[in-house]
Amino acid sequence: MEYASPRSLDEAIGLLSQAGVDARPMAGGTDLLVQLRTGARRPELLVDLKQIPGLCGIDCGSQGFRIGAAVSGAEIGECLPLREAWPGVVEAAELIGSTQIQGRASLGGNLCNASPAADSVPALIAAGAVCTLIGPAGRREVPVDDIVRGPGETALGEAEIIVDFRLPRPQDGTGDAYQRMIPRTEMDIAIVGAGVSVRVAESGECLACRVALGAVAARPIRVDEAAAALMGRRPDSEALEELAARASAAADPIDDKRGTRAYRTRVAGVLARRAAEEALRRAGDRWAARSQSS
Amino acid sequence: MAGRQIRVNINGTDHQAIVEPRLSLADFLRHELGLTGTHIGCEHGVCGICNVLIDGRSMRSCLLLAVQVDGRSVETVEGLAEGEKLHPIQEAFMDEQGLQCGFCTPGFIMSLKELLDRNPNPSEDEIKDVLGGSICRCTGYAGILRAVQSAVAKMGGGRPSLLD
Amino acid sequence: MAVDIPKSFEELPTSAPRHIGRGRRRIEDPALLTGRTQFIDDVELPRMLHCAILRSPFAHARITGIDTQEAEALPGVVAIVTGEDALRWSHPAQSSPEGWGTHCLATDAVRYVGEPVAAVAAISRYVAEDAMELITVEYDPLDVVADPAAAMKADSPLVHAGQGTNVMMDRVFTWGEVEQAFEKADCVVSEEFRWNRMGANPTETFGCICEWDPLDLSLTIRGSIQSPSMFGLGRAATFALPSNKVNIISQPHGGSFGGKGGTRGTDVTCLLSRKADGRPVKWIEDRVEYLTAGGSQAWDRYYSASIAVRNDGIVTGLRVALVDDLGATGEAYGAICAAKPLAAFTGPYTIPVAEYDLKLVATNKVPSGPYRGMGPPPHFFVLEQLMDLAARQLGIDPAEFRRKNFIPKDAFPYMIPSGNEYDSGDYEEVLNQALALADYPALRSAQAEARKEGRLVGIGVASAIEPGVFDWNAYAIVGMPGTGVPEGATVSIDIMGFITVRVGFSLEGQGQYTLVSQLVSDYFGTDPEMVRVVYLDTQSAPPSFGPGGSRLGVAITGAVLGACDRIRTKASQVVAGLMQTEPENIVLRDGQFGIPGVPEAQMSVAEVAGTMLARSDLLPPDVDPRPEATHVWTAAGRTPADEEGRAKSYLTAAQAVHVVQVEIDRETGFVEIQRYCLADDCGTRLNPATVEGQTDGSVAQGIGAALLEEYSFDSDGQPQTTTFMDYLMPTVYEVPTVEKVAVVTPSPFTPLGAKGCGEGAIHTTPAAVLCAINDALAPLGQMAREVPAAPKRLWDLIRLAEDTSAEGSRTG
Repeated sequence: MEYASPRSLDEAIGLLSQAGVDARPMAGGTDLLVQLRTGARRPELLVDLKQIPGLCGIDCGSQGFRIGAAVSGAEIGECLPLREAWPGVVEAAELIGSTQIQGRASLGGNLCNASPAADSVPALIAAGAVCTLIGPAGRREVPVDDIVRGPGETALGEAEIIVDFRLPRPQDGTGDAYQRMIPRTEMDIAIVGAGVSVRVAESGECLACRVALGAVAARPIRVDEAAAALMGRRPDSEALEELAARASAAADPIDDKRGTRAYRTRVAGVLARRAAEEALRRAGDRWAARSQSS
Repeated sequence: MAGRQIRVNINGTDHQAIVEPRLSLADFLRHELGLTGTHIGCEHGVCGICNVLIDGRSMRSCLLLAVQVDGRSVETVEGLAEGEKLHPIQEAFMDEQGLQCGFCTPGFIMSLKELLDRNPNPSEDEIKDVLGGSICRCTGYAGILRAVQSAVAKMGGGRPSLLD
Repeated sequence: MAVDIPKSFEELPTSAPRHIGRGRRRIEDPALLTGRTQFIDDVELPRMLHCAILRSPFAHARITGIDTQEAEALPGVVAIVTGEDALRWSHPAQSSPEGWGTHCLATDAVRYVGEPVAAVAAISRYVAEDAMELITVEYDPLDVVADPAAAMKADSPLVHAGQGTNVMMDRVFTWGEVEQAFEKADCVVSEEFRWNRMGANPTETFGCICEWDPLDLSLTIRGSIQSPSMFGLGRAATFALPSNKVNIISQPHGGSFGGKGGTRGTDVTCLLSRKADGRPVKWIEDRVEYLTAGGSQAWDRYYSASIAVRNDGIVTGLRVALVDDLGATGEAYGAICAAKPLAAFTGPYTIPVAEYDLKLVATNKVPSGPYRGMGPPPHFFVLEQLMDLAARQLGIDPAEFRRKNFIPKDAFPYMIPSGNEYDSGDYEEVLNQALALADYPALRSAQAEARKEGRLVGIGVASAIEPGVFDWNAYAIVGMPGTGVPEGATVSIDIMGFITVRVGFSLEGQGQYTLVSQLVSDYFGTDPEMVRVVYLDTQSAPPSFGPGGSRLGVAITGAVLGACDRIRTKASQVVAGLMQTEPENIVLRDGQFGIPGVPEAQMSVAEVAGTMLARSDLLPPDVDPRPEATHVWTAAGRTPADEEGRAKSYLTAAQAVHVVQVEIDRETGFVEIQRYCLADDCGTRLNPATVEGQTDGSVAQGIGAALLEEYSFDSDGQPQTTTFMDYLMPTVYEVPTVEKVAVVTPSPFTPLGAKGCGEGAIHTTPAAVLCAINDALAPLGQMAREVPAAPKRLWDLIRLAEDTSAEGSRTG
């Protein structure tokens, strides 16, 4: 196995194109190096993306946020404006492994590893994140929703890599949250994960809602019918139960040692509801803070 | 398999070596440099026993290739004590029986060093966040938690940090 | 020469303050904290090779061909071994029950996933692993049996065709008039339980360096070995070597908890060294190997159990039927875990009669082995759930129900129906202390409030016995021969008065070297810093078993104090000679030998030692001139087991009561431990900080057992838990603060009155946590019968209750 650490995007794409399927891009490497050790993947060439400036750093502009695909979870956790704006995304990113994994693990890697149970993905989908891809054919923008196709499988073309993630500045009354169920508090794979973002009017009426679930299908899924349960109403417990029921209905999980199909299905609804409650609380807090400051 | 030259500063000393790309940092430290204080518990990034500091941040040395630390600085448990004088975190582990078999201890100590270097007065949540990334099978964590409190006391109190 | 071993701190020849009985910094720690302690993977030998083991991907298959040619051609590969080499140079492993061992490399068939099939020795681990991938093995898959109920059926596939059955043992042990007790009972409570496979998982896996001497025909084995002497005897049997031709060097090791395993890998590595003309070969088991086929897996059990109870709440009989899935062979001695409950079958209770229906069954899974507690923890989980069921049925508070049935403190020594004798205890006081610590009435009233809100809050009160200082006779029913487990120590005082103690066990984590230094410094009135503890390999050490069976603290105390007393006797003769008096007049006190009350007739320990070593011409005739002695301590009064397995086996019986409060998340089944209190009595506490550390660690492992840890397999015998992402051990988040209080009832039978306490809390913790969970579920009419009580399992029970009640309200 060879190793390369290109300093530019062009160089990286060049290396990846040349080596074809035998090459594997790597950011933090926290999943990939385990796969190398177990023999699950055997690339001829590892292309380390951590030295490429375009994949590093977080920009907080007036329009929104640009998060480099190779930025570590620890850096995301330390970016206060991002935490302020999208607390659900940050809490999900901080769940990618323990503190010492956080120093390496990235959003790009978490997404490209294409695990149905990846923690950051439902939160990014709920927040409406879009990623920038660059490959031999050029640059394109794709919603995070559309990247993962199935376990270990992505929509990325050959030699195509994720450069960054973009999140809008949240509008007034926005709140997001991520909840997951695991038997052990850290260093475990989600049995179910649920990301929810909402936008509510000052009156409390729900103007927008996105719900995404992890670990209940072959890939993280967006569940618009669950989101619709809150739309246009002041979310009361009945609406939230409706959201839960629809989230459960959309779940199509596997049966394994971590959780049975019935368990995952039901808990998907429970966590979607709890995430929605937290997102609504945060949205409400935003309005409260705004009225206090004005 | 072509070797690659790397330069890395380890515990304050510059090293140059030619390594195979697939060589893990843990194996490089242990078997190429003889720094066997960094132990290996699982080699899949969960147990935290192999934690070392890279540019001051704690990371799993089993989940890094040696080539990835080219140009960076690495701290291991061998770099903490000065001769006979133990680092305050090591002292604290000794005072509070924060270890039994001691196999996981270097990994815990290195991630605690990162924590206390950055934040001399961490909250219980911050402490647990760091400890939660490593597994100790002997102590049930009680002695380790006491040791962290003791280390905070030893290193704090307005005295200049011993680590600067 | 009679050896006088103090039975209490006060009998030590040193005035307080003593070192013993106090927590102190451990002498083991500086090297551990700085990374200087040499674990096995830190050892490098000249010309050393590295081993990688090729393992079976099938749970059951015939091997029809192995091709190693391509691997042999890889540069850097020095030797490859397969089943042929095992047949040529070794015997099948010894086993319990006898006759269920196989060769270390599969010779005809593989019987579990991960069974070694071939192994490579190469110049590096990386090359050895590359070579392993070049070996091709042809398998002809056979029918798999991974479930003991299926394995017991007549038409089951056979794990060992030659045995004609998968049932390794099937026997009923009856102790007293059990049938009568159940007939006469006012109430009989019966239940079935499942304890899933789990186990030790020390942070360091097993490792060894094996060196075959082709001229001397001997083996030298370095390794992370818990019981070096037993390990050496096992290897001698495997390789048909005289036992003095196997030398075991035990490196300090990163925990063991009984589950270090490694015998098979060691045998494979020995074969490689032999094939590599005696070059040393190192094998470091990786974590995936350990989880797949290592020494950790224990207690794969199906229980069906009952108690007979009188209306006044007295339990009059216990029946336990156990089907224990031992996996593919008996080589890992998992069977002794099924035998050990005999040492404390009826727990802390006066239950007068009992029956044990024991079936040991082979399946296509990795052989099961020992783990901390060695078998009673699941047994007590079962017994304590039955106690709670009976208490609930009779409307008696669970704490009071236990109080009614406790062995009273004036009844010791107390013989239990399965034959063992408990040394001492005050169980009611332990219960009182635990309840007071927890403020039990307040917990119950808070629970009542929570229940009104529909919350699933539960309180568990459980008690168990920790048998301490094991003896082989406890395992006679599964074929372990003999009685007596020795531990020796050699104490030597040098010409400067410094003291060296030589022992036969290495560091494992329990702080025994510190204990030794405390004992010796108290005995001779020196500083602990003047005492050095040195490990000796098996060819040099005094007889030693090492840690295991909650014995070493007690046993090494006996060995060290015995050796000190032997030195005292010799030195007293010397001093008497110099002072022209009789040895009986010489007293050792606070580091001085002399005539009490005569200040000028005193000599320091260093002076006496110096005189003995330098001036043998001045010594009385017949006195051994060395201020040195070896003592080998063995528990006295152990009896051979009778036909029904009854024996005085474990010397001590520590007891504990744990009080636990949990809350179950009704929607997810997730359990939060909100309060953890315990009181325990392990006799005299030699080093209280160490005892506390053992308790804390054992509670954590018990919580792992109760809530998280499980080796799972699919129906084809494929392991589903091969990484630490799958086998979940507690982190700091899962282990609550444990509030503790100590009761001290010294053992009348042991040095200083200490009882075995190393295995500790795991005897009680899973029982207590499950009692709490079942107390929380009781209003729903549900009960958790399976360990671990994973969220998915509890959620199923909660759903069942909700469905039932919804149905009830529809029909009602």
